[in-house]
Amino acid sequence: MGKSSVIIVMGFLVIVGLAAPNINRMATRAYENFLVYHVRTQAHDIAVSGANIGANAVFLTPTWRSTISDVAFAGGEFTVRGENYGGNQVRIVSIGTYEKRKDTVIVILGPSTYAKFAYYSVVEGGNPWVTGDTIRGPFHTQGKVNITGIPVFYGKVTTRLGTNPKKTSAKFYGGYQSSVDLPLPTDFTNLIAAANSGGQVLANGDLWLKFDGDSVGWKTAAGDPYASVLTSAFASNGVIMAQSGNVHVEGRVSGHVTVSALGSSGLSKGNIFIDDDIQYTTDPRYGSSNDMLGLIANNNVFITENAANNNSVIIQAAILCRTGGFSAQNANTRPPSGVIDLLGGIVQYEKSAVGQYTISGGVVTVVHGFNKSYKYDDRFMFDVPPLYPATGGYETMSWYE
Amino acid sequence: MGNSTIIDVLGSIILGGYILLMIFRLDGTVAETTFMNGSELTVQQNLTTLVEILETDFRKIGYCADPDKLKDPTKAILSVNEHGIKYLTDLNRNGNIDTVEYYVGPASSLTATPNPRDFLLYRVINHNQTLRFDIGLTKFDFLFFNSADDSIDFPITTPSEVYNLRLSVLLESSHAYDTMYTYAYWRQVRLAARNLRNR
Repeated sequence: MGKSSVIIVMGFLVIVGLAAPNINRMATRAYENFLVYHVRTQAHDIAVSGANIGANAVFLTPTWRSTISDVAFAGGEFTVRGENYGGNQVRIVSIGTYEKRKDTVIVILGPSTYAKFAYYSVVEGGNPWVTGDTIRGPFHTQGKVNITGIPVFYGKVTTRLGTNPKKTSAKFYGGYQSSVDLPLPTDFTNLIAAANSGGQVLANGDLWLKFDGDSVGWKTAAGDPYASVLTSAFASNGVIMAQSGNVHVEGRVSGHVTVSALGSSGLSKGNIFIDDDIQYTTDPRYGSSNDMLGLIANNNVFITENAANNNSVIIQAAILCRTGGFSAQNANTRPPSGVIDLLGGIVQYEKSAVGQYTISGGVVTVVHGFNKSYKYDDRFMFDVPPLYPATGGYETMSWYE
Repeated sequence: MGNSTIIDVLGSIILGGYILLMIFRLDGTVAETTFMNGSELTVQQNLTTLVEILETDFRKIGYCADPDKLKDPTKAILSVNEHGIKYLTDLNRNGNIDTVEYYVGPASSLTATPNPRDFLLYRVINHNQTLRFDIGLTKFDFLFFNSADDSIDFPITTPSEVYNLRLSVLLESSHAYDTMYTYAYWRQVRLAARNLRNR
């Protein structure tokens, strides 16, 4: 009996001795399993932090191309470098290390231009964005965004001064950020240099341009006939400028072209007049198109009041008005003129009128000028007309992690 | 002498029976613990593997090695619902846009396992390469947030409104010990796909 008991107890101990480590091993492996996940996550998070620090370095100093090595961070370390990457882009490569586990984050930053904005203004004026307004593409204002009701913004909205009222029901589907200071350029130095080197410059006086595919007709007096020439011969880099005068445009544009009117005087210089439809030879909404137009005015871009524009107008361009706005000539007196069918973006100093309206029972009636049908040309996210002014900063093109 | 032998025998029987009962109980306990620990380990390994795939995939929403091909990343999410998402990305970093879709099947479609709650998770690449996860998934729930970090009610008709997502995953073992299933739960409180915020 005594021996049997000893044998039974010994057997008992052997069974427990064999089973216990196995049980413990499985428990330990389950723990290790999540430990591996933790290490991987931590290495990744450190790499992301390094990438943010590198991107911030470029944000603070756009010329930053350097390496920050072996920075101790969150129990691990990261090394981040900024390097030139084709097309004036910058590549940020961040390697995070935690417990010998490495992870890499690669960010491509590209120069930011004003062309990317579907809408930009310095002064918003009193007209609010209202229910029914739908804005696609990036939006920025240096002032306050006045909001009544529930306008919808699909692109990212940035403002310097916030919204009015402070809490709104507006839909910011692309995100919202305030305190973003992004003033308009103070001059067009690079554009002038390009126009004088490979472009076409009219030093004084007004310029009329009538685009016809690869060609452009031009003249310097309203009553003159157009002289037709290949656009590539007229301005090999695509930049056409009246340096001290107004420019009148119409027709169908092929390729990348920037038309600009400079000069500081009110209506006699620095304005672009759209005399008739100005559109692309190949509409980018219906297939691949390399056609792209920039209209850059030191003052205003007007839709001319004339017979051609009294029954709607098509405008396909990225418009920039440095000190004025995009408006219809005689907006408050011209007859109802149909619809502005705009494909592109509007960057302007102040929001300007293209018509006058009455609202009764929720129905908007045009008394003078135009209805609006504005669509954003999302090609401007990546490609811009020649020498279109840059903001001086960078933006994220792609983020790989 | 006779009496003491009988007492010895009876005592031995009682003691031996008690020890046998202990052994049987120990055997059962060891078997249960071994099964549950092994099952839990399997569930946890499955979970971390799945999570690794999900995190890698979802962080790439809206990414393309050639950004020109995905000009507006806010349009990268094509559709979402409580248990699925369909979006554009560049899985292989080759500059080509891929369509990735995650969705779950009904619990009734997975009859091969005793667990009545588990269902299949499908990962479909470019509408034709389908990967099935048959790993005891019993919960695969999304919650989506807009740029103001407010949750968006279902059905979501404007996927471009999505800015962040929350994903809750619960895995259970496909087999039970008695009626007990082991489980492992994971929740990504906010998974931000950085490319959705580009530009």
